[in-house]
Parts: sequence; C-alpha cells; structure tokens
Amino acid sequence: MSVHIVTDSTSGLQSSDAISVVPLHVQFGDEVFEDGVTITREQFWQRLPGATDLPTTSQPSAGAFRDVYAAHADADAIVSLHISAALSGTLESARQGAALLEDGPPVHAVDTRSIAFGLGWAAEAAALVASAGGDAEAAAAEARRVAQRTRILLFVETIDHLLRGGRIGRARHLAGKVLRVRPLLELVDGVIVDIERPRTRRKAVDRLYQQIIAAGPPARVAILHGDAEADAQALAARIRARYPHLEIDISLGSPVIGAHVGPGTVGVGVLSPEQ
Amino acid sequence: MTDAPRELDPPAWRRMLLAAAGWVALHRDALNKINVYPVPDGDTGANLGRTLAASAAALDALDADANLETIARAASDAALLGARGSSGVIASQWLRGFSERLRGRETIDAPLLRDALQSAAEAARDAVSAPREGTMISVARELAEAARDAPSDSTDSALALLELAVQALADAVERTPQLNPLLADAGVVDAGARGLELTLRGMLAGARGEPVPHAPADFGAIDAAWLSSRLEDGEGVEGFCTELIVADVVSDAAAIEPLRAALTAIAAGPLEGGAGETVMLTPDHDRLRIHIHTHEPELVYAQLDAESEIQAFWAIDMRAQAARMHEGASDAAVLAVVQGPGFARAFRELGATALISGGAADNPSVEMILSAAESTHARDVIVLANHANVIPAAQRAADTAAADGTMRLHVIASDTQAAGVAALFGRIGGIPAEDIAAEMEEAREAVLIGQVSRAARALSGDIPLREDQPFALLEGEIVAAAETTTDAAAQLAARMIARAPAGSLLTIYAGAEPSDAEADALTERITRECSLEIDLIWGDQPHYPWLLALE
Repeated sequence: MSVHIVTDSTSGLQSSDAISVVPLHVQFGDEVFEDGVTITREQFWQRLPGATDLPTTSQPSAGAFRDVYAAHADADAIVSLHISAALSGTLESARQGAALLEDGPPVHAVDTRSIAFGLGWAAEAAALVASAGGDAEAAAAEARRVAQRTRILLFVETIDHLLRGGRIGRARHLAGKVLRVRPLLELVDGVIVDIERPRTRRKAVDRLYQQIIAAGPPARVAILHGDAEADAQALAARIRARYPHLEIDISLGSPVIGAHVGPGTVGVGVLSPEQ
Repeated sequence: MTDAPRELDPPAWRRMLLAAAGWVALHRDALNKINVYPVPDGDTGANLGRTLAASAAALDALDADANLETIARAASDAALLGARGSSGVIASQWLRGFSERLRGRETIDAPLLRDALQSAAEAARDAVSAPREGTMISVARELAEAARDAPSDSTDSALALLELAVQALADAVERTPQLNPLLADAGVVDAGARGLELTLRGMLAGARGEPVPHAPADFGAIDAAWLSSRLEDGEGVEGFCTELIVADVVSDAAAIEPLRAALTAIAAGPLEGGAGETVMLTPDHDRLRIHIHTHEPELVYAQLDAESEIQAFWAIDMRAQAARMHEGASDAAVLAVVQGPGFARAFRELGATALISGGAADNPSVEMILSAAESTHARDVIVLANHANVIPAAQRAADTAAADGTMRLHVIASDTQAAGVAALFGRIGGIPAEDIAAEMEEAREAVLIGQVSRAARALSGDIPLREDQPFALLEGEIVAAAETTTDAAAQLAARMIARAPAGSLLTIYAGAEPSDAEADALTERITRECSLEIDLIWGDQPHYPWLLALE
C-alpha cells in the first residue's frame, strides 16, 4: 500500500520524495514564473518594489497536475491537498488533471479550506500517515484535521492588494480609503475576513500576538512576512518570551501569496494542540 | 343612509388623527413584514408609524377646544418633521395636502372631504419625481377618485363618503400586485399602500368613535425564496436610506430642480427602477426635506452643507437592515452621531450602520437617537456619542430602551468625533455586544485627543484669550493660544508628540474651516518635526478647525 501526497505551492513546501508540489504562476507584465521554482522568495520581494505593473497570479494548469499524477502512477492512490477553493481555482485544475489521467491511481482531491502553513502542515501530516502505511482516506482525514486546527492570521500594510486580487470575503468595510488602517485578517471557512482594524503597525503586531496566545499554548507557530523582517522578529520575540520552548520559524512569504498580500504583511500559522 | 352626522367637527378630526396613528402602530410589524418596494428593508410599518405618532403627539399640546385649522396644522407640521423613510415622507405630504384644505373651515363636510382627498393625493404625488403605479401614491389617487365619483346619495354625509372611499382604497390596495410585478413575485400587496389604507381605516374608526382594535390583522409575508434571491443579488437593497432637513435653500419648485438633478446623480437605484425614484424633495415653509437612497450619504451631506443649513441628517444602511430583518443577522449595529461630511464618510467606512447629525450647537433629541437605533433592526446598538453634549441624550435613550425592553443601547462616551473613530477601530463583530462596547471604551481611552477651537468670549488665566482667538485644548486644559488656528494646531501637536512613544500615529482631522493648502502645510510642518506616522483626514467638522488624535 503506497499513498503519494501532492499539494500546491501555496503550501510553502518544496517538492520531496514524499510530497510533490505543483507550482502556481506569478506574472510580472509578460514574464511568467513558476512559484518557488523559476522565481525564489528573495527574488520576488526584491523585484516587487520596482515593478511597474503589480504582479498577477494564476492557478496551475490541469496538464501540470496530470503530469505530476502520471509521474506517480506506481502509487496505489494519490491524495492531492489544496488551497481553499474560495481563494483559488487550483483545486479545480487538480480535479481536471485527475480526469485527464488514463489508467492512473485514484486521486483524492481535497479542499483544505486553508493556505500557507495550514496547507503545508496538513500535507506533512498526510505524508506521515502515508509513510506509516495509512490509506488515502486516513491521510486525507488527517490533513483535514490539521488544516482545521491551524489558524491563519495576518495583518497587511494596505488592503489594496487583496482587494485588487478579489481574494477578500466579508471585509467590505475595509475598502475605505479615508483612514489609514492595518487590517488584521483571518482565514475563516476558507475565506479571508477582517477581525480587527489596528491603525499602526505597532498595534497590529500587538493584536496579532494577543490572537496567537488567546487560546493557550500553541503546538506550533510559524511566521511569514512580506519583507518586514523586523516586525516578524519582534512578534517572534514576544511569543518566545511567553512560550520559551516553542520553535518559531520565520520566512519570507512565497511569491504567489506575496502578490496577494503585498509588502509589509506579517502572517502566522498557529497550530492548536490535539484535543 | 346612516344617521351619522353630516359633518365632522374638530373633536372628531382630532380623534381621527389619533386613531390613524393607533391603527398604524398596531400594524407596525405586519407592515414591516410585507415591505418590498422600493427597498425590502422591513421598515414601512416603523417609518409610517413614527410619522403618524409624531403628528399625534403634537395634538397633545393643543387646547381641547382647538379649531380644525389649528389641529390640522399642528398634525401636518409635526408629521413633516417626524417623517421617516419614503412611506413616511409620502404620508406626511398626503397629510399636508389634506390639511391645507381645512384652512379657515369650522367642520369637514362631504364636499370639503372630497376636495381634501384630492389635494392630499396631489401633494403625495408631488413628493416623488417619478411616481409609479401600485404604490401609496397611486392608491391615494384612487381614493380621491372614488370620493369624487361617489353617487350623489352618499355625498351628503362626510362619514358616509369616507366609508365608501375607504372601501375603494382597500380594493385598490388588493390590486397593487397587478400593477407592480415585483409585488406579485413577492406575494404581497404594497406595504405603503396598505399603510395608507390603515391610516384611513383608523380615521374612519376615529370618526365613528370606535376604539383601536386589540389585535392586528395579518397581511402575510414576503415569499422567502424571492426574498433570499433578492438579498443574494444585493439588487435594490444596497446603500443608505438618507434624509435631511435643511434651511436656507430656495424652496420654489424651479429652484430646487438643479438640486434634484445633483442628488439624482448620487442616488442608488431601487428595485427595477431609476435612481431618481428614491429622490424626494419636499418643501415645508422655509425648510426643505430630502429623502434619497445612496451608497455615499456623505456626498448628500456635503452637497447641502455647502449651500444651506443642515438641521438634521440621518442615514441608515439598508443592506444591514435587510440582513437583520430577513436573514436573522444578530450582530450589534453601530450608530454614530456625526458632524461634517468627512466624519460621516469615516464612520460609514468603518462600519457604522446608522448616522445621525449632532454635536456642538446641535443636540440630537432622545427620540432621534431612539428611532435611528430602532431602524437598524438590531437588538444591540452601540451608540458613539462623539460630543460631550450628546452623551446625556444618548444615555437617556439607552435608559428608555432598557425600560421598554425593546433593544439594548450601549453608549460609548466618546466626547469628540476623533475619539469615536478611535473607538470604532476595535472589533465590531464576532463577540458579544457588551464586549465590543468595552473594547471600544478601552480604545477610546487609549487615544490622546487635542482640539483647536476659537474662544467664544475673552478669558483671563495662565493663557489669556481674546474673543474669537484660536486656542488649543488638551485633556480639558488650554495649552496654547495663537493668531491662527494652524499655529495653535502646530503648538498642540508639539505637546502631544512630546508624549508619544515610537511607532505612534498622529491623525490630523482638518475641519471645514482650513483650506487644502493650510492642511498640507500643517501636515508638512508636523512631519518635519517628528518621526511619527502622520495621517491627514478631511473631517469637514464645524466648530473645531483641527482635531488631533495620537495613538
């Protein structure tokens, strides 16, 4: 019994033996890049400030998924875990790719209703189940559980990038252009909603911290930032001061996510302990 | 024929008006439930009820032996001022048209009733630029026609004529779904038309000396599938129902046409109609009453602020109304008391679902706060008082609501609009209203507010002031006097910045007085002198050329 795990690049993962990562695309003008493959995180954030046209993104093609699934035709089953379908059409491409597959293993395409760490940790957990001999259903179920246990929170320097990309749910009151605000957002049921509206970055970091510790000690915390290392470090330092044994990973946001949230963003994944 | 009196005397007329208010009040919820046109925001009963209640309340102040004309004028004037929503505006105009014919008369006989119903129908019609069939306006016309065409044996008694006309009105109401396909799809008659019928049924009962019934009639409900598809599309339920009372505008018909055109350009369209259908301009003595549906109520505020004196401004988010009325939304609503179009915009963008005017030199009444809060259809309403003078009225409104048990008002004691804005940056959903209010109070207190104003009179003290001299106020103390408001603001900013931790934000709210150039110059000057983040906002507030908020 062998189950292979596939995910997309919004998970923040790199392809490995256990997990295949299908890249989304990010486009500057006429130049199209594969997320995390032909453009690195560092290259993206260096390029962004000077870009005349703001970058756009697109989901992987169905063919890209078919090729990855076909490359693992020897697996008994494939579990394909993806970014919230409310945010991207990636899951749809995966399903179409599976339909294009002739004589391949069954593909279980799953909407994790999450993104970033919520998706990445889910894929890692599914891979663990698979390596321990679990079947596709067990791997998919574990992925769903981990995604559900992961809160995704972020604040953005400006809501403009999210509005422009159309990836915003209930946050219509944030469309305001009068007052400066650094909206604190959360991914809820796969959709980005605003939960608080701090006006300064200092306050935003503080509110993010309060949200992280609100439900007690987390099992895992990781931070992404849009070229805002200092704020990310300050946040990590506060969390470490409270939970000294917690390991906190800090990294630049991936290009596709970065294109939607913009510079100055600080986001976190918070995994709550198992019940 | 009946042995009814042939004429209606002043006491009868008074009873008729009171009974009309009573009948509509009794059917408030039943009318709310069938509100489809122009916007299914569930407030026809509330608006019409409030309008007639205002006129009934005005009768209390009159002597028992007041004549017909006095009663009519008091009721009509109060209805014009108290009118809410399109149904309220039309009803108040109908009453005005009716009342005008009673001038100089001792009693209402059948010919006068006929005349008055005709005049009422015409006044109601004139309230709307593009009246349509199957509404209050068309049934008011049918009511007048029925009275005009009544057979001669029923025209010698006013009461008999009224009976006959009301029956014709009721028939016309039943026909409204044939005239407005929206009503047929929704499975109800027009709520405003039904409201007019109840008004007239009440008048008839009052004339006969009958008491108001104990239980309301049931008029059914809007088809749920139709409504949910409407609400999903957002069609016709977006925007703010906005009303103003302004003085100092030329009120003759020709002169208000340019204003009507300007307002139509910023109006939001109702269901399957032109945007202009929601624009109602109704002159009343030296005042003008304005009703309009728009996404940007602050633009209406700005338009009228520039050319007249705004006596009252009121705006309610209709989408939020509909969500609470029909979709079971139970979140708290935010009611902000505002002064100046810039602040109106800021509060709207931050999620306030109700805006009313009030502040320095303009205390909103307890009734106005209550009725705006009630219009949100929310069980919990957070009230941002935004001026020291408004806090007591807001508190009284909260006490009244608590005593009635109808809703809970949570008053935030913001004493400036800048403090109100600071409060509103907290959470507005997802937690109990008490917690939201507590967080808002905390947020408000965490912000340091400075104000620049002009001395109302000369003052001696550590910092003496001449009359009209610009000065700065920080935490209740005069901290600077200057020759210009900009200088006073710069001195105030320096004081505040000295206390600011790194990473703070200083928001400058420029009032109605400073020019663009002055605001930009002040912003530059402050930016040069500190490393704080500076945000310049056009608040357009009167009385305070500058408000500064440090957070």
